[in-house]
Amino acid sequence: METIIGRGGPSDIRSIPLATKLRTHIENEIPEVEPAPETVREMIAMFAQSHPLAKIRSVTSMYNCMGMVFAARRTYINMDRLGLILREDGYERVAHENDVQIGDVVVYGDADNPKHVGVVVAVDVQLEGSDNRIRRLTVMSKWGEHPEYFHPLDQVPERYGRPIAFWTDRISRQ
Amino acid sequence: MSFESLIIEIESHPFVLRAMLASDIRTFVDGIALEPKVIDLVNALSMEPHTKSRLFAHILELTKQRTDVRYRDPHDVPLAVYLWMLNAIDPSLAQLAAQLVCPVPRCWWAAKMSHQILFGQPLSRDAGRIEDSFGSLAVQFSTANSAIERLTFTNIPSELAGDIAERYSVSSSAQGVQSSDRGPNAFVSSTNHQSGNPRT
Repeated sequence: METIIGRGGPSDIRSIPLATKLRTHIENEIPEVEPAPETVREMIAMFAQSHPLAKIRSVTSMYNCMGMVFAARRTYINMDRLGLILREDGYERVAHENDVQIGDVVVYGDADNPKHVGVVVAVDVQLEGSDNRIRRLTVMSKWGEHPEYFHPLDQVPERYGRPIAFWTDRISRQ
Repeated sequence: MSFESLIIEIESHPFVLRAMLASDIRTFVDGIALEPKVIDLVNALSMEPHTKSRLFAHILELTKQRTDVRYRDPHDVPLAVYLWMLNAIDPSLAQLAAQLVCPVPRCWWAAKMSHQILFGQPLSRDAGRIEDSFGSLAVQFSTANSAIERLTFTNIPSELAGDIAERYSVSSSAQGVQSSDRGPNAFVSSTNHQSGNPRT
């Protein structure tokens, strides 16, 4: 029997060296194998009807949403590392959705309970009526073990909740 | 709904696919805790003592099945769900079940769940709140060894005790988890099974 003590820690063979800008190790773990092809096919089909505007970018289960955003798609990072990463990587909260820009991070959840993260990849301004401008955000995010999607901001599986915060690592020199 | 029907539902593709939307073990628990079939089975477990034995036997059966070595174990999600349910009803039995599930290869959720049960990390549904994540969720290794040391065969359904005793030595497993290394470093410990895991 193999018992791994300190899963995701620096010397866990299934983790990669990963740290915040302040060099705090970020626990992470890479799955051993992918799900079976029939399971993957069913994953792909699962949201085709319920989330028609969500477009698949990539199909793999080897990283999660946190790994996509903060580890270049290399590994799984638990959601409870979110606060550490945001703080030690110098993210700042974006006060208003209207100030969100491409590259900013969106956090989904209920109240202050984060369940999912994604990256804003498009901001489209549409005119509705004479001078009413509507900003529509497109997000790229990895849905658990399911594929990675491009999707409208509010088109995520119900269990991820709703967008509760936006964070940015943009640095202003002005 | 019968035990068999609930098991079939929990092992069905739609259920498994929903569970696989989780980002980590806490959101996994968040998701399964709201599943009606899980709630039904937890209720059955708490009201009908024999259901606990049946579930334990079913877990044992799943751990014995051979699966395709190229892919994730198809019982990964159900095993994790069953462990979580047992832990809610009978933590001692869940710890024993986790000992059986932990060595099953190519599991992801089940491995994490068994690890959490054996090593005492909290599985509360709101453990990942933002204020917690700004702090440190220390792994509670202090409870790990005591939990393993408490393991006895007293909670095992009598009809299964012989089978388990043949496959596992709980005392030797406990020795394999070295209490002296509780820091952040990971290591892999080998324990002495009286017989190897039948899976490849």
